[in-house]
Amino acid sequence: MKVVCFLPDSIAFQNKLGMLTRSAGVDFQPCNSEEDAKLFASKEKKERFFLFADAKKVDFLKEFSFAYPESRIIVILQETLQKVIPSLIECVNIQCFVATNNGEFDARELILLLKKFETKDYPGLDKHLGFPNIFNEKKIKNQIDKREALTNLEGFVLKIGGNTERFQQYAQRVCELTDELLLNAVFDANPRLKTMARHESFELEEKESVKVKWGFDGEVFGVSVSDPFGTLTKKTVMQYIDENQKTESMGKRVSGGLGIKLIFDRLHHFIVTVKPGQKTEIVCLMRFEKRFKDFDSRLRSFHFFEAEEKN
Amino acid sequence: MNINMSSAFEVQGMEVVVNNTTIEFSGLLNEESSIDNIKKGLEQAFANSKDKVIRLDFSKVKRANSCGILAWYKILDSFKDGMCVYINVPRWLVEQFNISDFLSEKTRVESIQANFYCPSNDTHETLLLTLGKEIPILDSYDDFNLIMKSKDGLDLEIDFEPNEYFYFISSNIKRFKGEAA
Repeated sequence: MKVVCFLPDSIAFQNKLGMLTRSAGVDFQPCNSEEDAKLFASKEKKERFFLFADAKKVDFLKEFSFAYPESRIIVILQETLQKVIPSLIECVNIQCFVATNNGEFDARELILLLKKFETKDYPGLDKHLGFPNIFNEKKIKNQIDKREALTNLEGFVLKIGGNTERFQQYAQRVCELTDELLLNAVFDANPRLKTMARHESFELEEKESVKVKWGFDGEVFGVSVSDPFGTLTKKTVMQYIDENQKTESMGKRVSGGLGIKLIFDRLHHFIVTVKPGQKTEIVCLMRFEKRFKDFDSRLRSFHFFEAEEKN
Repeated sequence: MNINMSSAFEVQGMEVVVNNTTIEFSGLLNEESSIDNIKKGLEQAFANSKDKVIRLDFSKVKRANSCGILAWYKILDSFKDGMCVYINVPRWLVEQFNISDFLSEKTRVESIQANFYCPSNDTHETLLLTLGKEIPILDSYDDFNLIMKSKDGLDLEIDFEPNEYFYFISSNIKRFKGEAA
């Protein structure tokens, strides 16, 4: 696996990326011009390779995406994802949007991202949190399970923070986010329940059951929800995050979009792994910043992986 | 309290208490909230109001999900006459005001809750801010700041981004200027 990096306006990021990718055991090739990047791509066409580039280079990204569809593109965000979605939504091989905050990447997430591509292993929540950590898990088959899961989750976050005002609010945010993930997993992902009225109580068969898991490693809190259908697409997620939907009429909505917006405001990393027809797992990570203002102002990352068959 | 004017509808997920022309909701606004009972509450409050203005207090609703929010929007939309005034609006509802066309010509906002941080003792407080008083009606909140006092008399700093949190005001400036007047 090779990585080509074109970040001419951000040499500091390029250097940091070089260090991180090499530490993940990946071959790293910095480029100084668009031509260099294209030349590299044309030579590596038959190999798996990755392009790291700045979201601001919209024309270059579009051109590169269409000219080298076999490549995987990782976009570096120095502004909100919502701002770049309309320009880049059609680029099917842009897989990850990696946020920078205060001039830094989240090194752990970036290395994990590269490792996933390299090994074609897509670990769940456990690998996203450091050690030590405690995980809680609940299988959801009906409304009572869903209610219990949210109550347990709320209790967990309150316990972490000693029931302070700050953690009461974080508990609310985490529950709001998880509630939406569960709604999507129970109803939207399931062809049998997709059109069912949401206020009707649901009963899932064993093979349809949804899993929710959460944990905290002292720095990062994570929650994951998985369904056994594997139908979520990158385009669906991006359409719903798109800022332009602010103007969409509420009355015309049926579901979905409102939920993904709610989710995206309440996390820092949104990581989706889809094994088509078999499983969708969404991992959400966040830092319980001292000030909500700092929590809100962090740029969000979005990683999308479609599980590949191992050779 | 006039007993005829007051009633409570206890439902799974959410409780609706009508107190004359004010409706107090508590619990959770989600797929389990009874649309019929919420509608009944609104009908009763409107029936109690001579000028068809009612007040909606969601401050005791801990959280909402997209099903509940959408259901609420549709319930409100089904009432063709009358004016609803949101009071003590919690954060989750302010966020809804900001991400969609949630507020219509038939709704007003009187006061909202906001997060504050006390740097002296590293604590947080949620305070109620009134539009036109603590929150001036502005078309941009770039330079907005507000220092409030904690219960112990210590300085509290705003713990939200004013341009984003008050977007529902700055993006509807004409309407809010009219309301404040």
